[in-house]
Amino acid sequence: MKKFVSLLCSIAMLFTICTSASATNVETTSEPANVAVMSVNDDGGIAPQAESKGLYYVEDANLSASPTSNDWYTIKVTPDKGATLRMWLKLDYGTLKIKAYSPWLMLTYNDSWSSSPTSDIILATKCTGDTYTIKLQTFDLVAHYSMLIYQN
Amino acid sequence: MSKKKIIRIALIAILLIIVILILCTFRKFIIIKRLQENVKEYTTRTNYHIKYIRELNGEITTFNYYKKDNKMAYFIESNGTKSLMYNNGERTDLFIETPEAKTVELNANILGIPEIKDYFAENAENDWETFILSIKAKVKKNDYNNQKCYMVKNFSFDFEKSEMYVEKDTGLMLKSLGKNCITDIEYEFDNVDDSIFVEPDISQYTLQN
Repeated sequence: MKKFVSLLCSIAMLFTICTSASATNVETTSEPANVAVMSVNDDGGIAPQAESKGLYYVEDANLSASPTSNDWYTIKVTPDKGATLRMWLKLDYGTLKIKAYSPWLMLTYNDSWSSSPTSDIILATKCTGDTYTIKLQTFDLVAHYSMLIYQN
Repeated sequence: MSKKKIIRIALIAILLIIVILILCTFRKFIIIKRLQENVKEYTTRTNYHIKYIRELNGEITTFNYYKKDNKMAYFIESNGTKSLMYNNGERTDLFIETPEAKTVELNANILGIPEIKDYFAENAENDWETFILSIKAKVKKNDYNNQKCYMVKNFSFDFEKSEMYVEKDTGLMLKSLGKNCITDIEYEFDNVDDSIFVEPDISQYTLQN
């Protein structure tokens, strides 16, 4: 009986060790902030604000149509521990499907956006300090947009 | 039956389930790693053409992607509209043709170009993540177009029931089935010549910036 219990405990311990070792080995491929200090106004414009930090920025980008449902454009960012991960989006035309994943590959945000003025989206709250994955997809010929991913 | 004996049987059953789960996951993990290894040879190719025929909610869209060295051309056609992208190695120009207008954007910032890629690596950065995603994934032998394939389903945690038919020997995806979206994929290698990279007459298009 004791042998069985100790065997189960060993398996549980082995899983725990593997889990924590892997978590620290995740590669960080995110770009350093190229927009140092940014935030979003009520009217949708971008304005400097001390407590916000840009993690990824692209202007007048064209995302081409995904030929399969498995084709996504991937962005990786590393927000600070405890931060809220947000996205400012200006979608000129087309539709954009957006997903965000925590470091544990769990979905934290999933929604679709059609040609709209500016939007300020919360992708994840209480970030862990690890790398988050954001995926974009369009089934239109092209989606034209500008985007800022930031934290505060 | 004594309480001790019941607990012992329950523990053995739990242990067996764990062992079977680990073995099944290892089998799927090994197959996926092998497919990833096989596709590596193709991700570095510099002369190829990929044709996708996508059916989304009954609407057919054709994608043709051509690559030769540092040049690429990517054409998407659907229902009377066309998107033509050319990269001559220095810049990318985007031509859009609709029944109403013909526009061109020079030096466009194009994202989401469908080069040959390792679809598994897009979801899992390392072996551990691949192993974790293999727990939920379904992997089984399934021929497609007389090619030996593996059907891989649910290789992600977002619960979208997508299926990929990946050729066993090459690791190339031949078919994708998603929610209302079916895509057939064909590949041609070392058959792309420079004529495909000649851009249309810009004077016929309205310049956009």
